[in-house]
Amino acid sequence: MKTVLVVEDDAAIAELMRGILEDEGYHVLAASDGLAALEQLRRQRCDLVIADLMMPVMDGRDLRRALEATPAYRAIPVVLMTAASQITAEDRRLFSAVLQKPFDLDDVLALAARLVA
Amino acid sequence: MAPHDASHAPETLLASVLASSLDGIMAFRTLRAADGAIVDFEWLLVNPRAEQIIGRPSAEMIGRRLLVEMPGNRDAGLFDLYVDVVESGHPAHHTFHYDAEGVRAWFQITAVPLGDGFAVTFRDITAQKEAEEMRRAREAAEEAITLRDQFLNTASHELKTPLTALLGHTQLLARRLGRAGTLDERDARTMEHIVQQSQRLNRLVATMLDVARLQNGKLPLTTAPCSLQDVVARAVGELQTVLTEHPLELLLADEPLLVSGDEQRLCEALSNLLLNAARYSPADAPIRVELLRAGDSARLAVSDKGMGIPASALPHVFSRFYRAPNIDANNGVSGMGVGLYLAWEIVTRHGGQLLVASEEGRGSVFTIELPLQ
Repeated sequence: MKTVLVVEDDAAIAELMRGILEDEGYHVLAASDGLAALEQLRRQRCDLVIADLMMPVMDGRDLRRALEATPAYRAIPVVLMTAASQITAEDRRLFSAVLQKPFDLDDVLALAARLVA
Repeated sequence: MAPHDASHAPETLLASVLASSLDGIMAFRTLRAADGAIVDFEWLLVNPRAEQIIGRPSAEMIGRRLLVEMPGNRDAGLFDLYVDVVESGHPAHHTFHYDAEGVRAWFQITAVPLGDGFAVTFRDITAQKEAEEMRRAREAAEEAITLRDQFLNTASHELKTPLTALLGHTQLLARRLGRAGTLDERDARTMEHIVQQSQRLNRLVATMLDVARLQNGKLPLTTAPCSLQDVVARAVGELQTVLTEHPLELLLADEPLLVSGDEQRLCEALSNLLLNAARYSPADAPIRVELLRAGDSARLAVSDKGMGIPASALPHVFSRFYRAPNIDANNGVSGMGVGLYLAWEIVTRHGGQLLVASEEGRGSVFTIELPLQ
């Protein structure tokens, strides 16, 4: 079973992501900020990280940089979730994919399937 | 130079220094009342630079009284400062704005006690002060823009987060009920309404944020080689649930038409034209999207057979918040008057043009013209 770590501070969206992914047979871990995500990764292996951009403590970009700086995590694909209407070139370079809020369920699933394959 | 050059005599040197100083220099004698209280000062010395700054010859100052000739010294607080210097025996520095007797400038002065009186050197720092004020004003304006920009980003996040949850959970629910076979047709339609209206709300939020960003002068474009066929496909795809009442005719050039542009923004511009075509034409009236090459440009036209725009309104259709006068007569067509404005801004920021041709009662054609890559 593939494991996806959802990093999102908004509980309704975290639960939505869990629902979408679990319905399709993924194992879902959740963290409410970047630092909590790093904690989770120390305890459990994961195949994909989907992280929100704006979060307290450690945001999506800082989490991505932290993962990139750690050899054990460098290969894990990271998807950025954002409500910003403008995606910077830097974000496109930094992340495996960008998921713009609001998103379509099928887009989330297609992205997950492609990145954990 | 001869060792006993007359120009080296102390008095001559002093006179040269005074004459060539870039600072105004003046000396005063104290005038006292019978009880010893200081009532005024009398000019003893005025150098050429001081004459120049004050704008009158020394002959009109030497031997005369400061407060009589230039009463503005009292209002500027200078008289009190001079009295302090004389009475305390300590020098004083001061920066002030003088606006009286035809002198209007910022000054920096140093007054030092001298016998029963004082000497003052002063420098016109108006240019410096103005530059500083301009810099301060520019910084304040830049800060205001940054703050508004941050606010818009936060607003975008705050508005779209609940929309994302709303749309996502509705879709998830519809999917689960569909799988369980417990979603009947009526409930499926209800769900569809929730999804469509949430999507509509999302478009409104995005449009309003974009308009606010334009106000702020910041609608950044992320440009890359961009296929207009892809732009059409994306816009039509995103709006397929909205355009159901209108047969769509797509006439797209076979050759790939590439422009240097922001695909998302161009898609937004086209979406606004498509939404307008749908909104202002009767159900079942076709909408045609035509993409072709015209020399070095690509032409992307959206035609409808709707109510059209009166000739008098045509020059204004791309103005922010403008709505053509025939809209009210056709009651019930909602809109904020920003869609065409936004489309126009996006297209012109791409170095292109947005053109309109319309006949009232017959329909409209909006054409995006963009330079090909």
